[in-house]
Amino acid sequence: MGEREDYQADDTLDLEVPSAPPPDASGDFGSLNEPSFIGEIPWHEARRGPMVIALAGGKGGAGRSLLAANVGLFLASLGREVIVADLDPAGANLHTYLGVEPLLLSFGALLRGGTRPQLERISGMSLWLCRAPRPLTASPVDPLREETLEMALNSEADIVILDMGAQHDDLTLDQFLSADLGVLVTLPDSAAVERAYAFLRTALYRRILHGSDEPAVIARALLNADHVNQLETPTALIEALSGVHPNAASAIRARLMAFTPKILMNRCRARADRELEAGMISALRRLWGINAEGLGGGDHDDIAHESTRKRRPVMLAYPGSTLGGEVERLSRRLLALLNAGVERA
Amino acid sequence: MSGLNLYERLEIDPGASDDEVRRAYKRLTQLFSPSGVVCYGLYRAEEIKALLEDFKAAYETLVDPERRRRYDQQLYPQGHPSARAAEAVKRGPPRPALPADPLSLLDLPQDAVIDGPVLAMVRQLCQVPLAEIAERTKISMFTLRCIEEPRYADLPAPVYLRGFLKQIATLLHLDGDRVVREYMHGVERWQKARKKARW
Repeated sequence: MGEREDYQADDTLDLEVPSAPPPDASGDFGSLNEPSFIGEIPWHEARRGPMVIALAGGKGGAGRSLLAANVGLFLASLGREVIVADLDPAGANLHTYLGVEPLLLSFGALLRGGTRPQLERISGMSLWLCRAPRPLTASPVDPLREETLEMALNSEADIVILDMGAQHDDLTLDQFLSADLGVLVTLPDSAAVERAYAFLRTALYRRILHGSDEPAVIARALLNADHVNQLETPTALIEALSGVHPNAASAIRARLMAFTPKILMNRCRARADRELEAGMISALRRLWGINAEGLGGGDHDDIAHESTRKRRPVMLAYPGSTLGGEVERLSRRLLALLNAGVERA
Repeated sequence: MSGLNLYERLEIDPGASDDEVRRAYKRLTQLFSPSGVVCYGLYRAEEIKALLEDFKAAYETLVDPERRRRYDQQLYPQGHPSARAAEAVKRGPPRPALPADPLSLLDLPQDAVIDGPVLAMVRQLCQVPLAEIAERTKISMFTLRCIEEPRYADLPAPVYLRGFLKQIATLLHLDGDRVVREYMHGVERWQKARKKARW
């Protein structure tokens, strides 16, 4: 009997996504009437390998890197094999939050460029930095960033945390959409909330209207013909679409329902700040019909400043602080959501 | 919005109390205010206006018992699905409606003043348990007992006490001003007596 219990316990702890897709994967959308082409979009494929948490969007300085670093440390302390990858092309500073020395590049190194990500190990957690010298080009495609991402996604880790940065480029959007948890970190102020909506708008467009598959093409054609901007919201679009092409309409609706970004309102100071998360989710549901989910805002703590200034990670130097508690709570919530996702699959 | 029923619009349970309806309306009008943060960068001015009008319409229907009853009938022809409604059924038949002037039923002498014991008598006559008053007014059971006994020494400061008395009076269909005036008179008499005793 003991044997059997052990076996079950192991089973629930196993974080890997089952390698074979469940036999009736298409039945997921049964209530939404078929669509067969839904399986064609790449981010819907049953993925093998590590679970992915992508922190993206919002505004610079919202706290993505600090949270990525410390959530990574906490999950590693629970015994998970964790990789935290810094994929922020602009403000790649994850190493600072973990006390890793900065990279001082010579002009010669800048000229020659580099191709390998830097791999570090801190308190049982892997830190992957793509901060080797980049070739001096203005190309929007960053081979080093792509390679680091590719390596992380194909690694043996249990959990990969991607710190994507605040910009809206294709790589960031695709990771936000395909990750097990796409987390948008924002702040309780107008500028950050506006940026968050802007990011979600772009991500939603990419999720439901981008690509060369039939529903997306039909929907875009309809939008192109809409010269008076009547089809302002996804709901209006789907309604119009269902008159012309019911299959495409239900495919788009299924994608809309599958778009469940997680929102984290960071650094709350007042009660009104904490209510903003629920407010944003309500506003998004009413206007776009999407089901965003709140992670339960984090409180402001001056220890973040102290930790960054002294380059000592919160979870190692100040684990008993308010912020340490917030990180722990957030980590457990993320873990619960990841496990729930596995059970659903 | 068009697909949502009035309860969904206000983000409340179909069994929500009047108070919950009021609070939900207040919360939403504050959240979705044109000068707030929630709508910034997502809604146009006219969309916010439409949203607020929707909230108002939903609120006005749901706080009016008669209109809410008619709306519920139309929304749930098979009966109300609310868990609270089921709970109310479990609790047994509703008690008879409160009399319009409970004091007249008490057989009090002509010059009687309203004090703690009178309030307790009215409450028992109306078959309202103390716990229900506590639940509906959010006044603690301890304070309510102190008011009824009356244990003057343990009462809250007069400024709070007046508010509490008014709330209790409203629940028991009493004249709030009269209750406050006569009860507070008793409190003042007690205070004077205590001062004298000290000297």
